[in-house]
Amino acid sequence: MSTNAPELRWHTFHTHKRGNAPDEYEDAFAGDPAKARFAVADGASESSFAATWAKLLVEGFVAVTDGKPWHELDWLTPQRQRWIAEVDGLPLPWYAEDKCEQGAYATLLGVAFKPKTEAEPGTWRALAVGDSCLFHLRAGQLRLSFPMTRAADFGNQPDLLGSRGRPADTPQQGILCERGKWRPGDRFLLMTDALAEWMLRQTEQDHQPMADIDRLLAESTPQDTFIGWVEERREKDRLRNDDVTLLVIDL
Amino acid sequence: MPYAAEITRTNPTCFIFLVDQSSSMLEPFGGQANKQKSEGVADAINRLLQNLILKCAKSDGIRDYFFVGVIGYGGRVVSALGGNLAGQTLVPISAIANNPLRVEKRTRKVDDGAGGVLEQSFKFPIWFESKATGRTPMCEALKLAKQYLEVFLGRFPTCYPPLVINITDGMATDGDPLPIAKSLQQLAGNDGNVLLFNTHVSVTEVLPIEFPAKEDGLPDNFAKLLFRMSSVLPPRLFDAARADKFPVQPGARGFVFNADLVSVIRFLDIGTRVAQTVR
Repeated sequence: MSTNAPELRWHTFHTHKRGNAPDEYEDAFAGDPAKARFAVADGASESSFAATWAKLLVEGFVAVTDGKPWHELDWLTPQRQRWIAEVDGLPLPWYAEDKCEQGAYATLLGVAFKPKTEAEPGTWRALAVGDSCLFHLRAGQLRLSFPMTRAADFGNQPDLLGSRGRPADTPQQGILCERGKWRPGDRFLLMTDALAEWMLRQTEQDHQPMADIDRLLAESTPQDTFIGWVEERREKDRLRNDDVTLLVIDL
Repeated sequence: MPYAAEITRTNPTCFIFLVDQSSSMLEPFGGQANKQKSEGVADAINRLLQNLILKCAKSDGIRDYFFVGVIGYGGRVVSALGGNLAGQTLVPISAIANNPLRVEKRTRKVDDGAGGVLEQSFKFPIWFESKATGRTPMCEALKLAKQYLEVFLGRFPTCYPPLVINITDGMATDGDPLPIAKSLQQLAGNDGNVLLFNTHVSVTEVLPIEFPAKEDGLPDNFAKLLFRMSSVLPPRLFDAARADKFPVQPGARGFVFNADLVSVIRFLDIGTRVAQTVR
């Protein structure tokens, strides 16, 4: 463990949209506990090569060495070049070529933690484009959700980051940032939109969504249980049928 | 709630395009002396098909979210699909994607990001050539669409309700199309009634009219008839139209005058959308 990173445990869960093949999953997640940086992204289903782009986004975010200004996403440029190198020049039929030319799009939610020092408590910073969400919990209680705060605010046209980086691709709301302090024992959840919407709706209806997450973590094969749990939520709780990704970070 | 079914490959929906190919389509289009209505219609249908395909295009191919039929009505009322698809009725969207008559190279102007304009070439597939002959058997065309839909709804009863898009100058010559339009709209699956939308291609030079809620302001009786034949936008399509900055009022119908209905394809929900100007 690097001295610059707090001690933490993290778990990941993911599953694809019902009716799609597993390899059609277009969310992405990444984490680097040594740097204490984590991210999820959601490739836009109406764009092509979106899974590749979502993966490049999360990998780009977690690879950054902190210290750079938070707002300057310098790391996006090489990731965009990688995406272009991967897709340009592929022999494609006219429609795939057209979609490729348009570029791929994805949301991004990234968070980085700093350890506490003798003088200061531990801190975290997050950035978001679109509707992938961060939840900060303490003692099982939701303290903050970012950037979405109401289940009703989810739609099918979130802000997105484009792989071609054209001026028209600039997210309408820009890159949203949030920061705060953490204490040992706090839990952070990163979710793509369908699950985040469910989480907010459950909270708004005074249900206890955290109890479900606790039960998942207690399982011997949490990822397998997660897939069944998601399917059940789709049936019973109107969890929107979409790719689903969850990162749990315990500090 | 109706009009809420998920559109998937196992539960696809259906688009039927009815295309007026009568001789009145030789008239100029919207006051443009050098463009015939039939050319405006050919452009419209090719753009609709292209946008429908691009909505379903992924890096590994086309996802068959839609079945598509194109019915031409002029001298005869028949499937207007050509080339390898000649004579077929409803085909999956991938079959349309992979079988254009030809692919033209066109250019468009795009923002270069530095205040200038850049010319960019792109491929424009052609499925449908302009054609104008004979009378306007719109009633027959609506009846044929109804036959297509009865088959489709039998096979996919839980589908998002099929959409019929009629592109015409409105002058039916085989009777009053309104009652037949109404009977077409009576067809339903579990998720709601078939939607009939109309695109009025007119010689009249007026500003485009999109999704009106009243017939009062419409320029002529043909437009008013087509308005009455058009379905009211279901809530989600209405919301999507509003989100796309169309100034829609309650009761807005799927009717446009000298405009196109490409936007309707954008309104349909198959997953996360990318805000983009459709050409």
